[in-house]
Amino acid sequence: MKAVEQVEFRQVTKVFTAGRRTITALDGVSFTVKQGEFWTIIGPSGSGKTTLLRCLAGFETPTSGEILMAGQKVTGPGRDRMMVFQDLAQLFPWRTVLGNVTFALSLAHPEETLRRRQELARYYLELVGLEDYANLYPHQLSGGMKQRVAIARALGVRPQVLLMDEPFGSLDAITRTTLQSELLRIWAETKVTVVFVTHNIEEALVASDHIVVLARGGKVHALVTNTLPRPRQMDDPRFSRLWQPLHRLLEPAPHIPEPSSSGARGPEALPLAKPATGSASSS
Amino acid sequence: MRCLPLDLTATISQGKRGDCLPKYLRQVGFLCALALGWELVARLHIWPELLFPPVTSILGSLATEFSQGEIAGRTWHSLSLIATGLSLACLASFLASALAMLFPVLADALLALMAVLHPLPAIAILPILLLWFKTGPHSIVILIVFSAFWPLTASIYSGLRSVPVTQVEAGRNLGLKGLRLVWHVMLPAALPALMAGLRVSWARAWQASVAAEMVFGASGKDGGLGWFLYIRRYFLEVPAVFAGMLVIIAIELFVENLLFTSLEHHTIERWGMSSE
Repeated sequence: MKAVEQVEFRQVTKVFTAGRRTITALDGVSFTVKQGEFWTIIGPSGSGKTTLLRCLAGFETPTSGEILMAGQKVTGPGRDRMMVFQDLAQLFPWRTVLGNVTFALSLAHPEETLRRRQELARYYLELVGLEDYANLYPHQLSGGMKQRVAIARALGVRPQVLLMDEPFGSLDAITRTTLQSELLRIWAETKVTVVFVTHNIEEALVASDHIVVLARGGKVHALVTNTLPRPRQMDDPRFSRLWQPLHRLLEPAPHIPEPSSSGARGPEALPLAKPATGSASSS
Repeated sequence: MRCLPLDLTATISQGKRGDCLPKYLRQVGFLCALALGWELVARLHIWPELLFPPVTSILGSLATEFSQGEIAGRTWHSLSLIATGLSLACLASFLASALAMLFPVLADALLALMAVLHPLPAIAILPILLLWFKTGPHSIVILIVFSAFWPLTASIYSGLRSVPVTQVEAGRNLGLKGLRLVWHVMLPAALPALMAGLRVSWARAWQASVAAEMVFGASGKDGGLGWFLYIRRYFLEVPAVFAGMLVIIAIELFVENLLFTSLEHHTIERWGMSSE
């Protein structure tokens, strides 16, 4: 894997204004993703995970700071960053499974012939295991199948980065586990860079090379490098050794010791007592 | 008679025995009974036959009108005016809604205009149309456009507004923006609302055209079905008036049940979008 810097967050801050209230969704977030890596963003709800991804996708503009994509500043949505949403309604219901993929291909690769686009679309449907469902409409598919089509559609565009916003969040546990391992196989096959948002620690540990832990208020709590050898097993004792500290980082507020007694430094104290400025970092 | 499971919902809702006929057959049966009753009452001559003709003479008149070709020409005239007016209204509605989606200022203007003009029955602007544009087919087309534009725009606009955000963002992610985004993503996603609007505006257009022709007709020869009703009443050819009404009903039923329903069947129902 070449170590080319592909995505760079530089002190990205995003503040939303709702009436007179302002809400800081991201606060000075910085990290760098190299080509072909699998990054996961985790954090409690309200920590700005989705905002981070939406800024990278170009649907939101950072209030300050900048996001670089292969050295170029991100100014809007683009086909070099394809998003797979959590929403099961992201497919175009008036197009078949194949039609959804070929439509994306016709916009992304107008230079290819119609026949070639059909072949490519079938290749990507095969990649997600849906080649037999090409002529069905989205409403005839299960939730897991819809997400597979969304992944195929996004990959067909041949993006540099695949953005995934809790794509398996609406699925049942078994489908979720299946799709996680499918995604890892696809990632290994296509060598696409992935930035994946979840609030599920297992999902983060099984999949990613690097984990960005966000805290409430949108600060980077920790950057964790996941060195577990692949393929990863949840019953691996090393897995739980990594799981424990991550779980503590994400622990909700009631578990914090008395705010007065804590030194306001430890990560446990974060949701209530804010640590010093700048982005935190760890191993 | 055995119950055939032709229609699942009908079979389920039919709890009672003796209710085996499909719904539409029962309805046709009811209408036939009504016609029979009408015929009997007319034959009793309680009211003068001139004003209350029996069904048989209405049907006879219908056959005569068709064989002479007049009613077909009138129907064709009405339909072509409505087709012109509806197409223009569709085009205008699409443009207006798309522009309103793209520019919030225009949306405010459109909504204000809609609030003021939508409640106005289309026929109410006829006197002004007469003064401004004189009588003639073009005035009727303008009236049809006016009557169809507001319900159509209201439903297209609200349909566009309620398109799932994720589908719009998926489209933007694929590089679509502006009118191309509206055309490729928002309009198909708003199709259920568009179809509903089209049904309403089709009915409004019919009403407007028939009503307008009754008020000022057209230059005699080119009149449509409204003019036909008006002139036949003038000459007290009551069976022909009823025949004209039957033609109007037949066209309405045909367009409603066959055209729109099969269009919906092949689009939004097939795509699982009809529940919206």
